[in-house]
Amino acid sequence: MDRAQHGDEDAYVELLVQLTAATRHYARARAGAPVPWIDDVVQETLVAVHRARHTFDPSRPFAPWFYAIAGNRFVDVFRREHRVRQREVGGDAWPDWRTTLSADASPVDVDLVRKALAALPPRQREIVEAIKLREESVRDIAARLGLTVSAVKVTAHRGYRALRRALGVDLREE
Amino acid sequence: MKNDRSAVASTIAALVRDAAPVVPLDPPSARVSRWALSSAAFAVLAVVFLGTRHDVASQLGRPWFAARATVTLATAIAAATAAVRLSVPGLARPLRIGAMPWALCLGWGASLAGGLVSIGSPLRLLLSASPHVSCVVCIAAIGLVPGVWLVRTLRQAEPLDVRWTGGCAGLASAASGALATQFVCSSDAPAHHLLWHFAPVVLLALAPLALAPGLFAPQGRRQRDEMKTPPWP
Repeated sequence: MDRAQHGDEDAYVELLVQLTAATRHYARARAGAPVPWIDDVVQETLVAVHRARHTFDPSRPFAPWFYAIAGNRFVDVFRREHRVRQREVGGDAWPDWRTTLSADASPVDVDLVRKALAALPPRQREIVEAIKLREESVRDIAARLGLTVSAVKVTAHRGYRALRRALGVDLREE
Repeated sequence: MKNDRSAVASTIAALVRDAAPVVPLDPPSARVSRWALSSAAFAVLAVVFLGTRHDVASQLGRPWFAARATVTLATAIAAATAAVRLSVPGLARPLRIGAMPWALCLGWGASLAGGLVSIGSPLRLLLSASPHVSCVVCIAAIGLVPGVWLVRTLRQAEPLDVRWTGGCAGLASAASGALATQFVCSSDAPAHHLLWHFAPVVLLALAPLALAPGLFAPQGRRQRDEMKTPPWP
């Protein structure tokens, strides 16, 4: 860390790689179970370490400084994920308007849905279409778009909310 | 899993690109000393500007006056020290270091309450104490400048427990203002000090708790989000 503070790039890369493994191990131990947001904790911790690197005193031990940051980021991500889970609809209860709309639905209704979809912001439209029309998994979508799984879920939730408002109907399955 | 790890690798690459040599922070003792000296200089100027109480020379030798000033000064220094140490990750546990200044502050309040009780009829004395909003304004105004300086000092670091840090910073600033005001305000009545010096200090110290997340975290959160995920179109 001392060398990294002086601008040694190789030392900094080595440090960040070691901290990645350490953070993953720490977060898994604290979560107590496999959770999909472990890598969110890792990324946030690395960025926080980067931002706070000038506060590290080389005359003091590194572990308390690092684990204070990692613990703080873990709690932050945990709380955020908990809030997202409380807000968004669960995967198995996501609205499926293909089954809600009956076979003899008027063309106007289908057009309305298409128009509402087209009116969504590009990223929301892309994700909603991928989930509901192409039936891609959230993980695959996240990998393809370079986003985290939680970011995909939050975007999908916002897209559904916008569609509900645009269509003015309750799309929940009865 | 593979793609999550490639996202982490991208983050590492972005951080290394952004890494420039950094100047390590000064030790907490140096930062607190700088703040204390500059705040003291400002407080002296403020007291001279506002005008000292007419009997300040004789009051300095009185135990009650000296004790009150000492406790207020100790509260300000302890709170500033706690805030500065809390601004460095891993240096101190919030409850352990944050408790001391608040304990001193409550001790100050307890001594005033004790003085009130020793006189007799504390409730009557409190209800009959005349309003002195000027003291509150004085404490807030004199404490504002040290408060701004302390917040700037803390923002140079990376406070993790922002509410504890903000609360201690608020207490340090308010106690500085109260210490200076003691040399301006000519009333020594415990009821007056409890209502118009101590209570405003506590309220002014708690006010930053609501502001702390915004004062200490916004840039970090924005930068974290930018570095973590690709920018959305």
